[in-house]
Amino acid sequence: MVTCEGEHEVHPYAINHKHFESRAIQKIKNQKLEDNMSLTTAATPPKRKEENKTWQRFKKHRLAMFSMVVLGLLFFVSIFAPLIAPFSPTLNETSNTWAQPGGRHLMGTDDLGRDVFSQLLYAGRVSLLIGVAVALLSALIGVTLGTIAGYYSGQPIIFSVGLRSSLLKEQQRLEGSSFWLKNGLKWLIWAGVIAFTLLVTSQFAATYSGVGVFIAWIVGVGLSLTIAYFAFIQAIVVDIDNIISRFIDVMLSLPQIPFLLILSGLLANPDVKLGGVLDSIFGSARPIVLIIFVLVLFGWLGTARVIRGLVLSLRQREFTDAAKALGSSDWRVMIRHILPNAVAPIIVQVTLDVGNNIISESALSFLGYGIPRDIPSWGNMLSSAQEAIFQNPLASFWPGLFILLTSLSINFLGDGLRDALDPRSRL
Amino acid sequence: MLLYTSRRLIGMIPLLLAISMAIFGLVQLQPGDFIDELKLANPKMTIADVARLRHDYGLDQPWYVQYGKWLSKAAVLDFGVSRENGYISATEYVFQQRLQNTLKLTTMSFILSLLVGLPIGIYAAVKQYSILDYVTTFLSFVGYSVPVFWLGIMMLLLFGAKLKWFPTDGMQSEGVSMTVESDEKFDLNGQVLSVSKNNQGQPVITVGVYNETSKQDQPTAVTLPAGIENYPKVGDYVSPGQAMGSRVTLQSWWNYAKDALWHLVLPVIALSLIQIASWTRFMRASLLEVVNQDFVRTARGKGLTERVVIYKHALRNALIPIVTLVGLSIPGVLNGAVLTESVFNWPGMGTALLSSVVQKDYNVAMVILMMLAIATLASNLLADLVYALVDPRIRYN
Repeated sequence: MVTCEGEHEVHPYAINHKHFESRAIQKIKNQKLEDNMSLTTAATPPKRKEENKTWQRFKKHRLAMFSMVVLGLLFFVSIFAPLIAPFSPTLNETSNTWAQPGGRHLMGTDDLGRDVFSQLLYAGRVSLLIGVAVALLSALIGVTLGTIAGYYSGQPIIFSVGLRSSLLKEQQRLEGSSFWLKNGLKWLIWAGVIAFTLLVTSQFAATYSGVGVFIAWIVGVGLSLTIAYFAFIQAIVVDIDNIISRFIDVMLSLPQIPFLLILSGLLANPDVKLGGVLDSIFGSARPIVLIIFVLVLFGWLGTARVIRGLVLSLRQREFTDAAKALGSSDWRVMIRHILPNAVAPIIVQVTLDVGNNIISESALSFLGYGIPRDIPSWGNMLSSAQEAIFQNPLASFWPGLFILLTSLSINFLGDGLRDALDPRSRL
Repeated sequence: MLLYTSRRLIGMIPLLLAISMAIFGLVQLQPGDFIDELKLANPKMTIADVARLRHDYGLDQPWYVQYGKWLSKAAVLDFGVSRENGYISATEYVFQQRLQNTLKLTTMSFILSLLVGLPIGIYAAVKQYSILDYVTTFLSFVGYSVPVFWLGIMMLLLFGAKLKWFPTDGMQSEGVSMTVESDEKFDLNGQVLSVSKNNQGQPVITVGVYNETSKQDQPTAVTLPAGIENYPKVGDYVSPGQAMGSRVTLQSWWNYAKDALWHLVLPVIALSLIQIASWTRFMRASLLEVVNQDFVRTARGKGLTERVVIYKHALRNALIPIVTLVGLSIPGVLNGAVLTESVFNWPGMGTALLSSVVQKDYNVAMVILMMLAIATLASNLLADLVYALVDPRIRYN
């Protein structure tokens, strides 16, 4: 549809730095390719040297180095919060609410008389955990789907082969004896889909009278017949890349905060069935698991898109052809040959994602749809401090400052990493 | 181009159906409905009443059946009523009462951020590695990392509470209105019998004045001067010295506008600071990319002045990707608006969405979410089309 594809697929908010990465990636790819070539001939020593160079380059980026120190400190005080914090974060001094900073309470107390400083440290655990966990999980999903989409782009995947399909003979030849077993299983699944369609439309018809019944009946039977025709007689062939890419497009075009808000409101409610199940599995950590889940839902999109573009070009390189010619399976080519060449952008991506996730988490908690107040997080501290903004302005200053510090140092770190891993992409 | 546009538009239909189904499922699966609220408000309701009401409203059916019903009504643009806002239609509530406030906020901040961000980005790119370049790069990182709601709270504290330069919430002060009482006064006493318009379109009020001699109300017509609004209605009593109505004067309009602008300042700045950061970065990177290309070197080689090289050759090409980004950044702006509105207590769509979910007024939530989805899909399409317009290398076929 679009001739100038690279430029066209740019989304400024959901994928912050990726617009410029796409070019950076080109360069990384070229450089890494050269490395790959040399690696096949030479052994480990050159790689060590390369790593040293990367570290040298990283050290030159003074802001990134400084950010790393700040981040290290933040992680340190969060992890060792029980040793550093003077009070328990949940200790209520109900007679001492909104205490001014100084004295026994370094940063004062909040609406329930809890020590703000201690809460900040404990909240760091939650916020950093969520940031890192979401980034890693999104990277896992994004890299997997992105690689599959990129690798199989233009090669349709067959979901079902019908009896009169032109694909039947060829598939039988390709898959041999296991063909009927596999295809029979696919047919069973499609039969299930048809049964579900009929069930839904019949239930729908039951609530109507007159013409409504007729329409629901026609829609249900028509849909089922169409599915049956393609599943059992023709073939259902789908370009997996098309589906994944379209899906990413749609998800990226939605305003995320309203959607996340509704979703986490839904899951956080104890009356929802799924919530009860989650409760029994995760216990008191449930809100944290939920927010991770909700953020991953939108978090993997950017990574998947970047990796897809990267794999699209990597799969046409000579080393991929060579691996295929030597008889490697698709999975082996993807995991052993293509992914190692995409490590640098993935690392940068994960780093930058951590910062974005921390901001998203705090935004949700701030609106009251994230972590509940009994587990301190920077977002919900800010939200409760906002209620007494004029009595105790400093209480809303500190949590935000910590969010800012964390996400700022992560962004600088990501910038430094990009420069170090790909010196030619200085922007 | 026309074919491409129509194909994209047709492609949007299944997409919107899928999105609406997802939204509806999410919203309907939320525990509780407005019947619960009714039950809370009315302790006399029995469980049988609740069950009967649920059945009557079709709330006991599975979500996909309810979705089908919603869809068949939505197809004729009937999105139900807003139960929490006087049972007016949900679309009327969103479009007439809330949308304009959000648009005011977002368009102002969008324009402001473009007006500030792009020139800074251009300057930083032209003077690459200068001190100003480093400062803007650093600041854009800060702007990128700062949570918009915290920025809002801090600005509120500093400029609103501490310095008292700007109001701290809402979009209008109490008692400020666009109109003032007119100078023209009535000089008669009685009840308004009828209101009509004369052939110049001016309202004519007929007042029944009590006549001592005939002991009856005698209709007396009063033609109001032009520009009078909110004049008395039929059945109202008028008395001498009472203003004939209110009118917009330059003074009152200016007071109103000044007050509205005053309330806009903090939210708009909070919302635009973050966008400024990203526009600066995008503009700088885009221009740097172009400046290193051959045609710019050729332009310099021809002996053109630096000014012409940058503004006539490089900048025009660097703006092409920016144009698309403008369209694609709309969902992000709306995200920011939800947060900013909740900080500044701005009566826009973001706060309407939040309260409708809390109050289980799901029709409003559906209208807002669907509108956001349509707006973003449309802006994506628009971005692609504008891209083809400004860049002749792009062709859709």
